[in-house]
Amino acid sequence: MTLPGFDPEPLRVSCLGCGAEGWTFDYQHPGRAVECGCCPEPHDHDAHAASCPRGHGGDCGLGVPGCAVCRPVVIEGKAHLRLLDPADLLDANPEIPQSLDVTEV
Amino acid sequence: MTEIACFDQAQAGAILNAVLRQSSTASTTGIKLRLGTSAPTATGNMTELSSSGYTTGGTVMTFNAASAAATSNSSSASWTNGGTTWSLVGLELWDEAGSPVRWMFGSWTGQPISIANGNVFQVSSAGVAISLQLSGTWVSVCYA
Repeated sequence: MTLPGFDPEPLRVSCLGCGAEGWTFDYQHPGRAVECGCCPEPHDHDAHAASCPRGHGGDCGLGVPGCAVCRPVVIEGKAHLRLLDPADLLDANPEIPQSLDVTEV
Repeated sequence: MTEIACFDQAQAGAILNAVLRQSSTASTTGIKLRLGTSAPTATGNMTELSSSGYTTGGTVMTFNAASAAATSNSSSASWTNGGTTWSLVGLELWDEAGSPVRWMFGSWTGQPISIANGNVFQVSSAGVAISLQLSGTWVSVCYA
């Protein structure tokens, strides 16, 4: 059973150059989610952008002459703030039994 | 232990007093969203992000009128990392009083989220959803 609001949610990531988008559960490497004509290589765009040999940093991309590494991406964050959600309470208090064995006496 | 995200403890008390003791309470001027690199709790602020591309104190965010005990942001916000990789964990909603007051807190889905230099972290409208649980089903257990 999956509790409402507790499904793992993917991040929406889009290319700043062409707008191509992707979704990922890899929250540590969200740049990998997008593959588009701007940078078709299946590699870590974040790492490449951060180590641009021409010193562009993460500002590389379309419109930057001579730039050979990845364009920046837009990573869309989401959050759900809930008050008094029973699932939160159970998570916060593992000592609360989530199921009981009922034995008839 | 995982903290239950939502109201700052002091403001939760103010809200209870507003309902039950007819005292007035409200946020001042407007609400700002802050980004953090640690998890906030009801009694402890997160460590606010401090890096190029982010202005401490947060960014103004507007919210829709609540309906069915829920609301979400109506405005969007974005920040472009101009420094080292950000590791985003928490968020907080503060008002814009002369001495700002923290009202609510939570964590980003999937946190920590890495935002490399040059990348943009964006919160689109409805990206921050806030809801109150009006009722729940609980089982009372009697021990003989």
